[in-house]
Formats: sequence, C-alpha cells, structure tokens
Amino acid sequence: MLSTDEFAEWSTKVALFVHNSSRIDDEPFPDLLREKGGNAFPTVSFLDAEGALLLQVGGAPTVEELEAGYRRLAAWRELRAAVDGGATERAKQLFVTELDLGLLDFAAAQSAFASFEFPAAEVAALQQQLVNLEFRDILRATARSEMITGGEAFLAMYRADRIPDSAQDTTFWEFMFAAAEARADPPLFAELMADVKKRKAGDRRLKRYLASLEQRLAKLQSKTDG
Amino acid sequence: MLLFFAHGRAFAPALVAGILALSTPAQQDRDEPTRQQLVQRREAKLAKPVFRHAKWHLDYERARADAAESDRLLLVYFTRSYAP
Repeated sequence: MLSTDEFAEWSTKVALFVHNSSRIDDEPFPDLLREKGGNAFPTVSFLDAEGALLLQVGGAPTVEELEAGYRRLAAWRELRAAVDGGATERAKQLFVTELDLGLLDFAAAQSAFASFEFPAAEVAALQQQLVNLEFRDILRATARSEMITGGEAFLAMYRADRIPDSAQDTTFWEFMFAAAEARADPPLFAELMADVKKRKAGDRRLKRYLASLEQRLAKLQSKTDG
Repeated sequence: MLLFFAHGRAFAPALVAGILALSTPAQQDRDEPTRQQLVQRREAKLAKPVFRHAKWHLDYERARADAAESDRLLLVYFTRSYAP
C-alpha cells in the first residue's frame, strides 16, 4: 500500500515518518514503538506534532482506513479548537470524542464523565469505555516484571465488575491468573477460569487455553495441598 | 497459540520458556547478527523504493518540526530491519 500512487497522493495531508528498529546501538529513539503503544511490526500510527499518540490504525491499513482515521482526528481537532476558543456547549461532544479515541487518561475521563449528563441509553457504553481506559492505564503503568502487582489491580476491577472488553483483554485475565498463583489461591484461579470459559465461549482458541489453565490449576493445587 | 500482549511485546509464556530452554549459548551466539550485518540491513531497508515514493522523514525531530510548521498530523510507520 505504501508504494502505491494512491498513498503518495493521500500522504500530502500528513507529515510522514518511518521509524526503523535496527537494534544498532546508535539508533535514536529505540523504544519509540513501545512508547507509542505498539506491539508488533509493522504498526502505523497518527501522532501530533509533539509526538503524542492519537490513533493507531493497525499494521497494514488501506488508504481508505488511513483516510477514515484522518477524518476522525480532523473532526476531533476541529472540536478541540472550538472548545478551546470558548464554545463550551460543545465540551460534552468533545469529551465523548476524546473518550472514543482513547485520548484521555482514566482519572480525567472519570471526572469529566461525572460532570456531564447523558441519556440513559448511552451511559452503559460510556462506562464500558471508562473501564477500558482504566485497564489500559494500569497496564501502561505496570512493568513487565510486575505482572502480579498488575494482576492484583485487575482483581480489584474484576471484583467491582469492571471488566474490559478491549482487544487486549487476554492480558487482563492472564495477569489475574498470575496473581492467583502468587497468592497460592486455587479457588480464585478456578473461579477466574470458569469465568473465562463463559465469557470467551465463542473464541476458537479457548480449548487450548483452557487446557493450559487446567494444568496450571492442577500444579497450583498440588503445591497448596503439599 | 494464544498470545498475551503487554507493554509492546507479544509473548506466549510456555513457548518462550520452551525456546529458551532448548537454545544453547552457542546457538544463541551463532544466531546473533553482527553490528555490521545490522547496519547493512538497516541501510538496505531504508533504501527501498517505497520510502522514496512519498516524502518520508527518517529523522523523528525533523518530522515533528515539519508537522508543527505545516499544522499537519504525523503518520508514523514503525518497521524493523533487524529481522525479516
């Protein structure tokens, strides 16, 4: 797609930057992909001029997908400018747009959510987006070596029935399983396992995952029994 | 294989542990590219025609300055040259 004339023509709307991970010691900004929320190659993302991540559009987007992302961001920029310019009546619309784009941190989003009134039909979807933000922020703040700490934070969310439905939610469960193992708590592990089974019933990878969880549970039980 | 994603890395714990257990230090040394090879791979990657077909910046700070001056968003393509 990047080598097409269609892309070259479209690309004049944006400034283009290719970040190449080379693993050479003189590489500038070697962690940029991770810092901008990426986890695979290739990844294509929109940033602002300060370098803040605005939107990730996947690994190999089409020009149509790039244009769709660009339009969402252009609409957001227009709203942002209007509100900054005094159009306070559009602040609620700006909040919903920024929540949808994931541009707010959880604390700011929760505070803004409480300051607006929404129709009952919209509340559940907005609350789910808040849960997804909470999950994302905890994950970002948790070092890979601190999976158990993250799992404890996710267990608190789980007990409050705050369960993310975002694409990365397998991490939510896996961190909690790690915490259950660290607690040496087979009943908790089994409870989580039963819930995963129920919630991911349509997932074709579930059978293999459950088999691995069964093994981990058996190991955990034998440890605690011994 | 079910992968779990965290902090920019995809990993399958059992698979990773298995690979590490099976790899000897000698094998790891053999598989590790030299700095010169990495430099060659980087040069080859960035010389590809695709990065000349549109106006790509290779310098992050210049790209951001361009975006700021022209009031445009920055589109970043993250790729790698250290492996295929």
